[in-house]
Amino acid sequence: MQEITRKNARIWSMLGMRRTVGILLKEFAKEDRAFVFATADMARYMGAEDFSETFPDQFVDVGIAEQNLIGVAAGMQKEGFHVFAGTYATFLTARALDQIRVSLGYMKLGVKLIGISGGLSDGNFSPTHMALEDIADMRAIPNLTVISPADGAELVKAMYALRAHPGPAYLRLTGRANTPVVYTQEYDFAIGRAVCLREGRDVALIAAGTMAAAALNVAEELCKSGISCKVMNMHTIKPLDEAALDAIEEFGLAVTMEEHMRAGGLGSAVAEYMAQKEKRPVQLMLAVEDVYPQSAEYEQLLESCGLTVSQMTERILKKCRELGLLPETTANCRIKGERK
Amino acid sequence: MMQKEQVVEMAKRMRLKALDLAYAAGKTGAHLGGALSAVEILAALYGGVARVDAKDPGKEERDRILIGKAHCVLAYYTALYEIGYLTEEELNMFEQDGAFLTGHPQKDVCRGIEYAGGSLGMALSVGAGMALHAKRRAKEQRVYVLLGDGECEEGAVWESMLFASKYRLDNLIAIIDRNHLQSDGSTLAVAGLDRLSEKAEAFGWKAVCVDGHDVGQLMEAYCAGTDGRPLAVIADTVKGKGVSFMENDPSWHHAELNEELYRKARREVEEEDGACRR
Repeated sequence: MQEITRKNARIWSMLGMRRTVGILLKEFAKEDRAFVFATADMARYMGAEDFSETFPDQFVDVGIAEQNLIGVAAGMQKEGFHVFAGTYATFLTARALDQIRVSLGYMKLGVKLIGISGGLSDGNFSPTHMALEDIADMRAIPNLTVISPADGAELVKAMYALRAHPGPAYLRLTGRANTPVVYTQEYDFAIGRAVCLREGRDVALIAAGTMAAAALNVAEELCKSGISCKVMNMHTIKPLDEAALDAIEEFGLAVTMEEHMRAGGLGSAVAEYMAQKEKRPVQLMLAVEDVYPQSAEYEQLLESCGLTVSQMTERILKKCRELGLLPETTANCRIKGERK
Repeated sequence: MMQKEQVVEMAKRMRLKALDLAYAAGKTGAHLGGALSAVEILAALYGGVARVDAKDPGKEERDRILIGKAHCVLAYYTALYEIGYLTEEELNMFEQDGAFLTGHPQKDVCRGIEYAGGSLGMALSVGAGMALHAKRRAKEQRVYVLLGDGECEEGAVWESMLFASKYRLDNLIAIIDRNHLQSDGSTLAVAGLDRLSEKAEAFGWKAVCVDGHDVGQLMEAYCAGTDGRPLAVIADTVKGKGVSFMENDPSWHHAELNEELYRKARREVEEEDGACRR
């Protein structure tokens, strides 16, 4: 059992989510003889290069054949194995979409999917390797749970939660090695329940994945202009935490932040729920704007998509100005009991 | 399990019942051609070879049967009825609004339906996963997957073929209903599909070609030895088999059966002596 400590958080951050996940896969295999890790030629990139040697009867590599990966995983799950299947997020969710739809969504076989390189983190490999539609694709499938953890610690939490979860799920891993750390100590994690990372009263920042850390930085920046931000880590994108959204209906502005196409992502999910409410904040959706970005280093790519902390801060300030939400004084943006 | 002669009779009843259900479906129409080609294939499997028990549908040691070419439901449901998974009342609800016997099957293990076929090319992967589970748990059961020949145009089928060969899944049997036709014409003209047994062998499978309307040949082929390889039974069939005006006519892939044609079709099947007419 992995514990969330400062030291572990540092290690997981260094490894990045995709290598941290390998630690958990091996732990699960050791603890549960029915656990199977299935991959499409990506064990090496998931911190599981030694998995096949240690657990040969609990390992399946289908080769570069994602459609078969889902079918084989579903067949094994149906017969009683507990299958986690992982590869590149975009190949997993886009190439094998129909298989996921029928075997996991329709037949409800409880395979857990792990997509690495969610979002823009593999930007140098060109848009073929970016997963920018995966949330939209997975979210549209009934019975599928969709989770994007904020950092390594939350990945650990999510993996334990998914192991105990009977239904099918998609776990989206974002960021690179040296993932920003959000959690350094134990906290309550439950599928479908958002975590409030910072209390605030003017603007609600809603993020998932490594964007949660960015949201905390944006909140700190906006504080300098006197804007009090609540930061919500919406790690579970489906089922969405509607109660958490009800709690921000009095806010002037809600901002969703994601490394995903605007269409169908976290912002869409939030908007779908908020649209039917009489009282709701204006929503600003910060996302990739319906383009395939030019290949570049991750940081540059975030910049070209307008998703760096300073760019997002500017865009939110502009929106606050338009909405007349800028306070007269820059003092007093913090509220009692908030995380500093 | 039935003897060959009983399976022949079972196939005849299935064919007649399939016509009744298609006629009762009225203007909705039904998939006829590809069901009639698969009647003996499924009769030989369910009636003759497979270890399944409708009285104990969830029994762990049962053989698993997955239907990839799920548009053959008229043959599938009538076979499940024959061996006791479905009541006549349930069968007669075929394609009625709200009934569970839909145009493509819904997964329902209690009624013998292991897999929700319909989207082609995916069942063999699922079957391979099930076969691998059986291997790793040292279980005796076999996994049969029925594929259409047109279905083999899906790339994912060949991903599964490669996989099954790598893991030496000699408990996996792919049955290919080789009726040579798909919606738009012949499998050769539409997709250049030919030499299926050579393809299967090249992927490391044992391939056996049989007359797909000869239950004796089918029953024997399902049990062929493979030297550790997965087995592909390529069953040469006639689309629309048993009804002269449907045979080899792609327009009967999915169509409506009116009263006159229904009576004609039924008469032809009734008068059929059970021998293979090609």
